[in-house]
Amino acid sequence: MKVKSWIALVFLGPNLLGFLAFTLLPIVASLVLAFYSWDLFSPPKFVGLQNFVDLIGWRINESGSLEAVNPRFWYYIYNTLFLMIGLPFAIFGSLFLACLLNRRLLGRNLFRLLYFIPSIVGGVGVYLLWKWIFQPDYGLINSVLWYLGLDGPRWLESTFWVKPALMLMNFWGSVGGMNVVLYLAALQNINPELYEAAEVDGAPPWLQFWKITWPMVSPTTFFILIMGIISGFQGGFDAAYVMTRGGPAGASTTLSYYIYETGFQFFYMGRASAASWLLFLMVMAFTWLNWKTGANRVHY
Amino acid sequence: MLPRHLWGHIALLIAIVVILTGCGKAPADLVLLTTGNTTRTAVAAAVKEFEAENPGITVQIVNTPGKDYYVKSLTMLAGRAQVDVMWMGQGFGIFAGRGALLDLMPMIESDSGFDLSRYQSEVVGWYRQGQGIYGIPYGVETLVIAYNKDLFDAAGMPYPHSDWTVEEMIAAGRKLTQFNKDHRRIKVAGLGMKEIDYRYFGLTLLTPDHQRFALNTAEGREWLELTTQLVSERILQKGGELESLDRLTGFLNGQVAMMEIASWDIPEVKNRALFSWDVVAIPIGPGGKRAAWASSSGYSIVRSTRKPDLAWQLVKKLTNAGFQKQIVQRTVPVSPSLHEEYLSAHQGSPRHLSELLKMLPYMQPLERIACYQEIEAEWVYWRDQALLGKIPPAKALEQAESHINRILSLHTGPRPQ
Repeated sequence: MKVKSWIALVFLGPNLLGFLAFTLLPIVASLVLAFYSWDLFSPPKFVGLQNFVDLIGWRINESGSLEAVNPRFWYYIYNTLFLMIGLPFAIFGSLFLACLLNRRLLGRNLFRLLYFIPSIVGGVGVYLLWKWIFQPDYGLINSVLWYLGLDGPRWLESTFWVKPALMLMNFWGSVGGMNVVLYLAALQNINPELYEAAEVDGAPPWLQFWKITWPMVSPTTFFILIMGIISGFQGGFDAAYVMTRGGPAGASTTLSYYIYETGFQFFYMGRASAASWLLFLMVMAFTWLNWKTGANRVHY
Repeated sequence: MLPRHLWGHIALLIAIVVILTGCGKAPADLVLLTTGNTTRTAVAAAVKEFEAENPGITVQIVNTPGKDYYVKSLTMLAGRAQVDVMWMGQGFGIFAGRGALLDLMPMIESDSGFDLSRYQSEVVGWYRQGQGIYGIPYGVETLVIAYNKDLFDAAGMPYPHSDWTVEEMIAAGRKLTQFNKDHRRIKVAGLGMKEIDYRYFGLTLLTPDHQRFALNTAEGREWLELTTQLVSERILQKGGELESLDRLTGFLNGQVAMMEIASWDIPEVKNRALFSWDVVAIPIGPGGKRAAWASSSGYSIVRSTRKPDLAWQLVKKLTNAGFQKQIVQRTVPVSPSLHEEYLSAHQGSPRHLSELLKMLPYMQPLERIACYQEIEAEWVYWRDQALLGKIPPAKALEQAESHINRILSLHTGPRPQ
């Protein structure tokens, strides 16, 4: 091996060792564990595909109809997907804000700072604040609604409203922040001559947006969409842990919270690992689908 | 081949790493896992005393906030980290059921200076499994009903008394609940509880042998139907625990007339309540029985300890009368001889704190089994389905029974030691 390779290895070594010990090894271990039953104390017992069957299997019940072995797991997948409905709104909101902040407005830098604040505020503090805002009897939102003569919903304690409440909070957190910064960078990279030419041709602002801005920021939109879907699948744990404990009646339990609960509350490490791998497969499938359907619509 | 000067650099790097590793503290002789801010000072003082009595022996205290204590402890034990003594509360079953704790009976029997009869026997019983004892308690936690005297006075109602019944409590809750003029918003919730505890009705979640779900009976259905009705009438403050910043907010704001409080809540209510308040024993249930949730705090020795004798000395230090006296402001001592001291430490409000001690013979702890957390989560899921009106109470109990019995059948009792 050449000297340069040795030097590179010496410098890369610490990071590589850390990656092997703290990332690759746990990933491989979780894959192996997914085929075992293990409660942290007893020796692991090989159970084949049983953990996967317990999660996504189907069976014929006593009345002869087909039913899910674990219907709640499907419900938690539904919860996770439902919470991702907010993603397109957050993307369009970010783009709208970025377009506003890209104009020559008074106090533009101050607004840029204000919209970035949700990204740097600590998570738990924000969740506690929102928990208070959603309090149905003396919380901020319902108090305002009450003064307007409206009955506010019981937000976090209603199986119907808990998901919209969390979506509203997520929208607040994601509409500003990093997405706006990415869009601002993309907007500033658009050649102004394109807009000048469009104006000369008499194109109205909405047409300029649709024919110039939207295609030119499409790589950024695609990146934000992919990252949003990945974090949407992985998300929901911290809000559920701090605000609702997955309730009421499991209505805010997402896949990541289910994995935590199964592994670290009920100590089914094998089943939690199997659920993690199913989550990984879902993320991979959605990302692949995005690449297949979306990549050719992106203008590089 | 690597040039000679590079070998030198690598050797230097390794030497630095070795030196830096050596800079770390030497491992302690005993590692103590504990939790909670309220006992932190008392634990530190007891450990200091222990170290002074055992020269050359060091104890490392690992303090973990309450919410994550059991998860962190179990993960440490599973990872074979050194742990010798650990705090133990109602998560006892998780550890004892997995064979993680050491049987203290041989030590108790051979230690002439240790008198187990000084500790309340029912509470000691919570740490028993088979013929063994797997923990020594220092404190007891149980519930009482706290009530806002100003709200009772304003409604012209007499205060609750020691021998009141569940029916009287519900009737008082109904009278004390106040709505706004348009009846849309609650001004005062009569009962600041999510549910009326099934224990008040003399019911238990599981059968005494912990083999089956026990609430799907006529009495259980009657209890859940009544609770669901009270929730729909808004007499019970639905989800108060879930939505408030903390459980006590509504009561401390004067928006809740009565609520269950635990023994550890008393100092906080005492410090923060700006109105006149008192406590009363949990009401007597329909069958003439009285019961309330209870738990205990204590210390256990981990089975993998290499120094069981030293660990036993430390456990004694952390549970003896001196330790119990130090935390008497926050915790009811497990030694009955110290109960007077507990009462005198709480002069002023609440005037009838002795009501809390009256509950000690009626304590009903959580089932201390390895899969309790899973059982509880399953129960809460189906109970909430009924309380939220999504399915009828009878259906919820039926579903809970089927699912909980399945979980119990997977865990056929505690593991033999």
